[in-house]
Amino acid sequence: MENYVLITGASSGIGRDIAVTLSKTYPLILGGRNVERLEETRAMCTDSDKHIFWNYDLADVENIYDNLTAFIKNNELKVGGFVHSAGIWFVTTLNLVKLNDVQKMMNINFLSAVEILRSLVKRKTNAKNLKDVILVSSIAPFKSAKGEAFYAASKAAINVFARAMADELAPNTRVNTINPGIIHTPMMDNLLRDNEQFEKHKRTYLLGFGETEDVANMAEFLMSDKARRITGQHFVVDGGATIAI
Amino acid sequence: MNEKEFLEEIEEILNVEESVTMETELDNLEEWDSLVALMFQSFVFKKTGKAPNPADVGQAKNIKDLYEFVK
Repeated sequence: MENYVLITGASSGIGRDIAVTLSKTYPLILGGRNVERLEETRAMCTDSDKHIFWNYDLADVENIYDNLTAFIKNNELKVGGFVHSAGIWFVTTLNLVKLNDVQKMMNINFLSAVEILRSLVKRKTNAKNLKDVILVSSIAPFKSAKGEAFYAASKAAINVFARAMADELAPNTRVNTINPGIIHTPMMDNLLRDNEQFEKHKRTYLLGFGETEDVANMAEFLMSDKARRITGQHFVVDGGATIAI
Repeated sequence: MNEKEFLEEIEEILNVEESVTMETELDNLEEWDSLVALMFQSFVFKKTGKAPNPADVGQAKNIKDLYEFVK
């Protein structure tokens, strides 16, 4: 049996495009809350009947480990890859922040990845099958922006976690992050309708704003044997935004 | 803590695919390394309130020797 790649956030945006791209090579476990939208993703994939769903709401972080472990055992799956693309984003100032909202963001953006990975490296569950981990982060930890402190903190946690895990899980498992800048998604397009925001970002995105496939292409490379010597690294895909003055 | 409970705990700490017994030799376990030894010391401290001497843990030859720290 071929080893599966588990993709969280597979029902939309970057996660969906990563799924479509990786489906050319791997059978997938498409993770998401909404089955109808997961069905849409599956229909877009190559060999759509090979891919299965893990229908779970990552906001329920306390039960991820048990749920996923049972899912793997009950379906007798071997999971060789993990792409964490699920994430939420909102803008808030320190003055207005609500602790519950920050905790939800930390749960979905960061702690859910911890709990999933904990299940996938448990040898009684998944032997030594897990080879490649890609955590979708952001350039937010590398650039400061008003209102993005909490989102940036959740993604900075992902970055640091990835480096530590690359060390802890070597040589069996490689762990890397992809750090996109602004990507055309429904969420970001909404932000860019604001003229001031659009003009501000347009100046620094030397190659323009990205598309979801730009992230998917990097994921395809990192998941492949071509990246076999690469671990613990952050791959910025931002059209030059972090280096522009 | 009885032997059965200890074996369950030590399998979690070691993250082994196959079960271990009291006679399993640590030299034959690729999972037994310095980081896992450190995790084991934390486990002993949590269970007994006493921090084991790392050198003593290093002398352990098999699972039974590790059990002596929490018996």
